[in-house]
Amino acid sequence: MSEAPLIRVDRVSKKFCRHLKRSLWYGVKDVAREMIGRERGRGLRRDEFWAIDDVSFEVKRGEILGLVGHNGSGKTTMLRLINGLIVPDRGEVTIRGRVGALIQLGAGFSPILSGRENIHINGAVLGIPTAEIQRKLDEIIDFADIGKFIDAPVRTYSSGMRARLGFAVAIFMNPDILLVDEVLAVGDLVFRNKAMERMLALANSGVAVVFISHNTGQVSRICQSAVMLEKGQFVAKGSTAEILARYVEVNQPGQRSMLHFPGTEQSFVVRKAALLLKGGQPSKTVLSGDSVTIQLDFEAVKMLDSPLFSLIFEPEDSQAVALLVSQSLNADLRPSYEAGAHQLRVGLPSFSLLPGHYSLRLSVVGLNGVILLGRVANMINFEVVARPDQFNVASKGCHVELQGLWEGSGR
Amino acid sequence: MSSPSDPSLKVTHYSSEAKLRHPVALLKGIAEGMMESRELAWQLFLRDIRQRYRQSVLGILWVIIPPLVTTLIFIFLNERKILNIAETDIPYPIYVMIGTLLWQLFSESVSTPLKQFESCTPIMIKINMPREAPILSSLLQMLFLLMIQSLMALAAILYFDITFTWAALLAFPLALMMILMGTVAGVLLIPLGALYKDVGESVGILLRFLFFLTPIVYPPPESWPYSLLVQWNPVTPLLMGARDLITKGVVVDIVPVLVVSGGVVVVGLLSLVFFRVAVPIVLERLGS
Repeated sequence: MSEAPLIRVDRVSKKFCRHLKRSLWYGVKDVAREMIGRERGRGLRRDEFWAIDDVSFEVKRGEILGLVGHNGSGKTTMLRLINGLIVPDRGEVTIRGRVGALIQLGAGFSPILSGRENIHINGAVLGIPTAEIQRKLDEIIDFADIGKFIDAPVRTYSSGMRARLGFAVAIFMNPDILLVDEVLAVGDLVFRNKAMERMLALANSGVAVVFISHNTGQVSRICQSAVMLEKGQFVAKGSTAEILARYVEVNQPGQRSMLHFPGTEQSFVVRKAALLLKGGQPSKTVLSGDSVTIQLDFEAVKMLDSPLFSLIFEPEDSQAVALLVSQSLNADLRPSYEAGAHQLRVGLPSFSLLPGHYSLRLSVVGLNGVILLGRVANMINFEVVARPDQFNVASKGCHVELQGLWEGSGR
Repeated sequence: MSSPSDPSLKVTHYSSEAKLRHPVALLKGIAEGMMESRELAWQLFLRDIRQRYRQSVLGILWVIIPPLVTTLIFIFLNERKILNIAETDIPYPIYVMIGTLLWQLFSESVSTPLKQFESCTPIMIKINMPREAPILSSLLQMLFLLMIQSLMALAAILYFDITFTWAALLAFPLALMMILMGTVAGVLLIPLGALYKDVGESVGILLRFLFFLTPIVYPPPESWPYSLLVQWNPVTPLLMGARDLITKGVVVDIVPVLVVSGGVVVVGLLSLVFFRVAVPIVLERLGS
């Protein structure tokens, strides 16, 4: 007999209201309805929409499930339904065991009180018994690793220190189900890795984990399976690799727009920049390791004499990690561009960036390689997604996968 | 490896079904919520007390300053005959002071639960914490207030040379009942008050109005129709009863005290049911 899942989401729908005042009034009406023992209305009222529409899935003991979807697809709403913060309008959520949420680190922190005092408050908010906090106090303070600041008011903390203290308390929750929403986006790399290891350890001990992150790299590193939502509707559930491959098909519009920084004078304008997939179709999402072409349509304002193009890849959360420089450094071997419209294409047979969000920056220098003709930031914003066969556990913190010829004396 | 379902895991269902359809589960939920709230309520109470007084010089004295000022104002108004207040059977200063303290206890019991709830909403919409915790921590604050007030009342009794009788200690159950009555009213205000700020604003005004409809700074009027207002005011029997016990060692009229107390208990249980049913809906509206 197989064990019942710890989380069962069964044909769940949830509606929200776009209009604040009307939403409050609906709240009053819903309370009145419930007080006379009637169910809440199942249809949509004015200004309401389905934020979650007929979604079903299950999460078993020890499973780490990633919830994938674009902004507004209902991931956070789904997490809040599982957490019991909101109640489904249709369908049923069944939870077996205690739920712990790594959702807002340091909930209930009082800025005037010291870190030590806040540990107790935060612990109580998370439902950790006071005696347990008392017993583990030294361990928590060690883990937070904020030194003498522990006795200083929390308002003197940096945001990273707050997150570390909050996380140090949260790991002493003892849940059967752990919900994680974007908390790993804060703090430095060491902290994020520590947090991720803790999550993996919990899953190994039999905890069911539901994980949301915009960073598909993180999702592919830690989740075995994933559910994809789109506009509140269930799209698919499967292995992380399969789901992320589907995620690629649905293009994500870039949120940031291109920024031109002219050099000594305006010498060119980029009209259009795109990543092309193997078939030649433009995409904002590419599979790691796939063949990709970068295509720029630009207009030279005046004659560009043997310009040198450099393309710089910047991950969302850190410094530039890769550089691509056009043709030869020898100016004589480089083409010049007359004033007018031109196109530049760079083919990359194996796009070796690892999963994550990146933006592409262009920098153009003149003939002698010194004079800056211009820079363009956020030229293309795109996302790299893990390919199905990618070895993705060990990529922690890395952004580029090198191709190597391996030789070993083993048999 | 698959193993049979672990029976020790608590199963929770969330669905749109009305909670009132399952009264047993509902009452069980309230009891559990109260139990689970205890430690959190205590921590919230400590947090609020510390944070309120850490950034102040006079600190805890701020608890007794407002009733002290009210008392002094009315003593002054009465002595200068600016107000025409009927003769009280005990010295006017002690009459006003004990009355004001008891009123403070009641009025803060009414307004604190909503304030506590509002201070917890940012947490409650993100984390599933026991929802009864703000109510319990508000009760703890009121007990704390009562403790400090008792010291103040004791000082006043010694200063005005009132004969202390052991019957004065019986004023505590009445004071507790006033806390309870105020808290019940406060809990009933939470769902609507959390949705609409108008509620919190008007409660302050209503309480100020009620202050003058209660025999706090004047003896109960005997002439009709003013006597009606005071008689039908549920705060009157508790407040007068407690004051008489403290200052004279007797409860003048026990029946209204018992009637009001019974009412408080019944309405109190209903208020918890209302709170349980309404709060999840309210939090949904606040969090989305």
